[in-house]
Amino acid sequence: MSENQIFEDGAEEYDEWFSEHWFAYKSEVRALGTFIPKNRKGLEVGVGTGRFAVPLGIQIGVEPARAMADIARKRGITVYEAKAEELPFDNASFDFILMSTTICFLHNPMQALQESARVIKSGGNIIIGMIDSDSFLGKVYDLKKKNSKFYRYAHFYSVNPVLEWVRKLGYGHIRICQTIFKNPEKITAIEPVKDGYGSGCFVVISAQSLRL
Amino acid sequence: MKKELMDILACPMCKGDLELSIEAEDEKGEVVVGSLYCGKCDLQYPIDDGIPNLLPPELRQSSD
Repeated sequence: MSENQIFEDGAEEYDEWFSEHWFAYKSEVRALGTFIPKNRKGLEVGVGTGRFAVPLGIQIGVEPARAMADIARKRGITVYEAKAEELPFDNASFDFILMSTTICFLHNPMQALQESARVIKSGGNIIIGMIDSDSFLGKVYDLKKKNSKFYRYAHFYSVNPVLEWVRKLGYGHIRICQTIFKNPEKITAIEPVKDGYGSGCFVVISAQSLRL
Repeated sequence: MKKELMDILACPMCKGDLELSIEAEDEKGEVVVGSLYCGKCDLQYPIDDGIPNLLPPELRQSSD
């Protein structure tokens, strides 16, 4: 089964993960919310089924898998079927861009971040949510990858290379927070959000576009 | 698709302007069926069930 076909055929199954891991999901939303600007025009790249866009108040999304996009649209998101590496928007169209658990699925994350830099207004932010490959969960996912329908083609990154990419692209004012400090299968309450990275499985990086 | 978002929409390949053709709208005035055309690339991007397909041509599903 091709990489894209997995998300076409498995959209509902993928979406169910969030219901089955409610506290992990809510912890991720809370961590992302720390850096999402209020009352600004945002875009989520890799919007999936809209599980992050909806609670975070993001109205526009890009998603290459049609079956996922259909679910996001039913949740009220304006969705475009498009690739992160080739965004269908004019320069400086958005105040911020969110990419949550997206980078691990991209063929060319650096190109996608460059496209985001083009589409974000000067002074706007990119917010990246990711599973840290150095965390215990990152290591478990990496080990289980071969047998996982959705993660078979994923590439999990640690925080440092992602920070290098955003710096290279001219972003500054970098802020980082983290959450999910226990096995998501066993969480029974929303996890705290802490500054920095290194102990949480889910890391959020916010960086400001400093283009003039 | 909301028509007012045409202002920020661009061809994913050349980033040029797109021309909107509407075949069907819903009660809110959103485009349900239609297409977006890039004159520079001579490419047509379909809008089906409210979702514009702006994937590069080689990645499109057989929706056309």
